Amino acid sequence: MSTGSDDQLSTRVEHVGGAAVVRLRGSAGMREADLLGRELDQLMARPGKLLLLDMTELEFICSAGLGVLIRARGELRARGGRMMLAGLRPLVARLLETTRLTRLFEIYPTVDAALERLEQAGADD
Amino acid sequence: MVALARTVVIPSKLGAAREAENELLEEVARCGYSETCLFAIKLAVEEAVNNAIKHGNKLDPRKTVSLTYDVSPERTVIVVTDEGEGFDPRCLADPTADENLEKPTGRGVMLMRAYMDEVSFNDKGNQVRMTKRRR
Repeated sequence: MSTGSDDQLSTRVEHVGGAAVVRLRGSAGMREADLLGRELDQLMARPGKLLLLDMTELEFICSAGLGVLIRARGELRARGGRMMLAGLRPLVARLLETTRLTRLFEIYPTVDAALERLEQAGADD
Repeated sequence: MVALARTVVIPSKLGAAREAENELLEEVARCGYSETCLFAIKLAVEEAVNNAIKHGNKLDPRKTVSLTYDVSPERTVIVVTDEGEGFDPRCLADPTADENLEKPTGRGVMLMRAYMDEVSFNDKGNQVRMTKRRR
């Protein structure tokens, strides 16, 4: 497990099955977007191709934070990887709807639902 | 014309607005705004200040951003002004268009408009004025 934090945003990474599960807590605003980007860059420098962001405790995200997620998703997909979002709070979910990023991201109601989907996909392979 | 209660001058550094933003949000919370309104105001202020610092002042440390706000139980008015050359808000690409969804930037002004009740720019394009009514 690895962690990163400033006073507004903390991240904790666990590896579950073949996926890196990143638990985000706090606020991913303008000032925290860089930290989030660094954390995701470090993770993506590793061999794994599955990234699951647990947003259950993420209270806020702005366009810079969304931009970090979009960039990470693009880089992951470019090398055959996959990024999933799970557990969005209602206000964060609404933000993704407003920006139409619900069309871009693979979103699950809970982390368990996302992991279950991954297991099914593995079983189908 | 609304008499605006407080003005804070912020250096062109991303971290510099935190204290002012927190004070504004504390005042909004004290006035009994909903969690949805608080989220909207925080989002709009972050987007406006970020645009002012990055695109307006181009991170020039000699330039500042002015954040002026007036919070009442009825509505919150926020004015953000930078020292840049301004821009034409009518000339922005639609970030919700299919061809723009994968672009990591370009959503700030759209979000201000989506989350605040009124958003207007001055003629030069270096000042945005936003209003949110309490719900």
